[in-house]
Amino acid sequence: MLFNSMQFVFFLPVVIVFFYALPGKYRNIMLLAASYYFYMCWKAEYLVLIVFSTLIDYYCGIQIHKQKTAGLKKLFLMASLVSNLGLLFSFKYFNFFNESLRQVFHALNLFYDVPSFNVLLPVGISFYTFQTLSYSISIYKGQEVPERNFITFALYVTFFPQLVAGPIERSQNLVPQLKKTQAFSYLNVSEGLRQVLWGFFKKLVVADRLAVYANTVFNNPGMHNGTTFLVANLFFAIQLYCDFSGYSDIAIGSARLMGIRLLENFRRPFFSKSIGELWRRWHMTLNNWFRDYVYIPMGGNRVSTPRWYTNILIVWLISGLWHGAGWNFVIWGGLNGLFIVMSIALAPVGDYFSRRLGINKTTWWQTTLQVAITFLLFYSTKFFFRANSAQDAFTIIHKVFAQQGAMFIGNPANFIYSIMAIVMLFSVEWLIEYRQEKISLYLRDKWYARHMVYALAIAIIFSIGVFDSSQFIYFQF
Amino acid sequence: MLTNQNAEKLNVAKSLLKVLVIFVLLDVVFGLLYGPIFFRHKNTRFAKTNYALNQAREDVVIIGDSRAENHYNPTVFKDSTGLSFYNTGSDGQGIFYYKALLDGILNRYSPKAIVLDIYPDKLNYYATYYDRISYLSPFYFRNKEVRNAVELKGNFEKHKLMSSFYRYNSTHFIVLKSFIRPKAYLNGFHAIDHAMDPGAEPTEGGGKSVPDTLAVKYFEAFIEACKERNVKLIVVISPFYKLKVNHESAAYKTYMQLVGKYKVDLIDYGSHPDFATRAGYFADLTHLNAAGAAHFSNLMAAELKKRL
Repeated sequence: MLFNSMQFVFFLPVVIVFFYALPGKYRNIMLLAASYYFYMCWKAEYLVLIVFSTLIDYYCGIQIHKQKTAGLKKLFLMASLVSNLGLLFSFKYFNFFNESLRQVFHALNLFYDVPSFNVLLPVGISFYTFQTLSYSISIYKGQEVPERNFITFALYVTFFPQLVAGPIERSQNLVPQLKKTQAFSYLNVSEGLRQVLWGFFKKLVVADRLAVYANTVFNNPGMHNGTTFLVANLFFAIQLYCDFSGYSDIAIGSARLMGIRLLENFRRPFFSKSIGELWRRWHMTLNNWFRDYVYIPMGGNRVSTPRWYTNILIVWLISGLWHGAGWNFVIWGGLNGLFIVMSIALAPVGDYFSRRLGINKTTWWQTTLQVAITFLLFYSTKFFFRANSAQDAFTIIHKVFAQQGAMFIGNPANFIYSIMAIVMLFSVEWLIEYRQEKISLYLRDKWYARHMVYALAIAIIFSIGVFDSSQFIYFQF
Repeated sequence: MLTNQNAEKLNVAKSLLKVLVIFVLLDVVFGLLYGPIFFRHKNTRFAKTNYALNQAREDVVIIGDSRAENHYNPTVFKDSTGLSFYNTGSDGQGIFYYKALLDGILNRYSPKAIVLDIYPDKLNYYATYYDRISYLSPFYFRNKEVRNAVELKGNFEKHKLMSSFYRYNSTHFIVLKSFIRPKAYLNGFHAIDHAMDPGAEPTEGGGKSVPDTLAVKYFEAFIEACKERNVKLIVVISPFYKLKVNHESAAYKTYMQLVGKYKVDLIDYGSHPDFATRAGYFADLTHLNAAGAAHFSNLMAAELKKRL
């Protein structure tokens, strides 16, 4: 069930009404049933996988906690890791590695005949496997005790607002909230609806509008020149942000309607002043997951400098692979890792020159320059993220440098609406980033102004939103 | 006396009601102001649709997508046949749009002929044909003939269309531009001036290769509607550059089966030697430019004279 569908528009209020109408002890049962129904709307058979993952981790979590010896604890942890990562590998990575091996073997003139599987990637598998893994690992580390109530645990795994594309929750945040009987609150409902509205604005008005141009260009690479790709990549970078953060906003807002606060996932990353800051503001729950369960166990930055930089690169290569089973994603991850390493390595150089030249880093032009450079670095990696393959990405980049020409506009109306959407997006986000307190104070006592803003937002969504049945980009993960 | 919880619920309900009232007011005012502008503007695809549905009285009406719009020059046809022509060709449209247009036309009068320009695989499933039905949304309440097609978009489409904002979604720029820099149409025909890069080669299409049963139904209904009103229907495949029309595809065979069943004229110029390798006649692989359209229209006019 897509968030931007009439099905969800009916589904969510019905769930909310039942949520508050039911006594506390029945709410989680209802939510679990609703979440399973939500997931089954994609493809009913894949419910088996998520239930399997739930059962394994419920059992393993209890056993990890129960066992006295480190060896047995580790055994059950391994069972959880192997089952979850095994699922992920089978459905998402097997064909990729299989084909890559096939190419290597053929290049060496060796026989290789392992067939590929023709199987659809279960929606959300990359998200819920990471979520359940974090649960098992944190029990193993003694950071929490297992959840004994199966309904509560199953709901933690399948809570519908964040089930298919995050935020990737931590049990320490979500489980206590699921166990608590949430009281109806005007604040929760108003904040939740506001966030859902903003999410729909980003998705329908910005992301889907920009997608029309970006898809036209990237799906026909042979027909367009470098200038056009520069623009298409810009549109794609913003489309990706709005698509994914829009989904997160709808997810977080929907949960907030029930008084449940999911983890923040995006915090206006395009206002970041460094690439490191950008990745602390973009898909925060995934990056925190990699930090806590891959980077820190590898030693993080408490190792020699070369080893530290290697850790960063390895984490980013894995992150690239998480985003997609393709070499273009691996390159994308590697590039981001490289930019972060370079920013760390060159930071002392930047500081030295700033001191020598007496440059105040907090002036508006310094901030603007830092934001622009950060965006440029982020933007440059998106050629690999969007292209259909690594080869296509290199072809496109070659065109950018070697084949300039007149920019393709396509449908002029769509292009103009795209520009309008970008201006509206960054105007609102700039206000939230730099003027939030002033605006909150202004609107707090003026109900008519607040309600006018909401009505206008809905009007804009209806007027220039794109209502074709487009999917969210991150559903492929 | 209300409990805290009930007071909070009441506050939420009041807020939602306020937002709804403000939105409805904005929507009604917008509809009252923009609606007349929309239905009176000229020289856009929407204006052409409006003309076809509500005003056209020409002897021959050409229906199709952008290829129809760029290929059939009414002036050439009129000079040759003495009949009046109107070109309703509209970018990216499919059989659902064509049928709605036909119903609107036949509801008012019976032209001497309908020329339906088809793309060989247009009976296959393409999501965009369903998406682009939204071109008909502004006409939903004015022209009941379009409702069946518009409601294909979804079960709740008719409810969403009650909003003027939604009904006129994404039309504003086109309408505004028509007052500042109108597109040059000649009885619905739009000529493309430039010629294509002769080195371009055709690529594979992106749709499924199995005919969409609903599209097939609509095509058959199209033929039947013309038959019922004794309107001569001529189905045409206009030229492509280097693209070989696949006569073995399921879609093409379905076309053949239906035109054969109803004894409809089919003129296949898809791979005509006058056009197939002449880059100078094309603006791109699938659209004739002005020179190509003039030559094609002359050839077609001769074909029509034989049949009308």
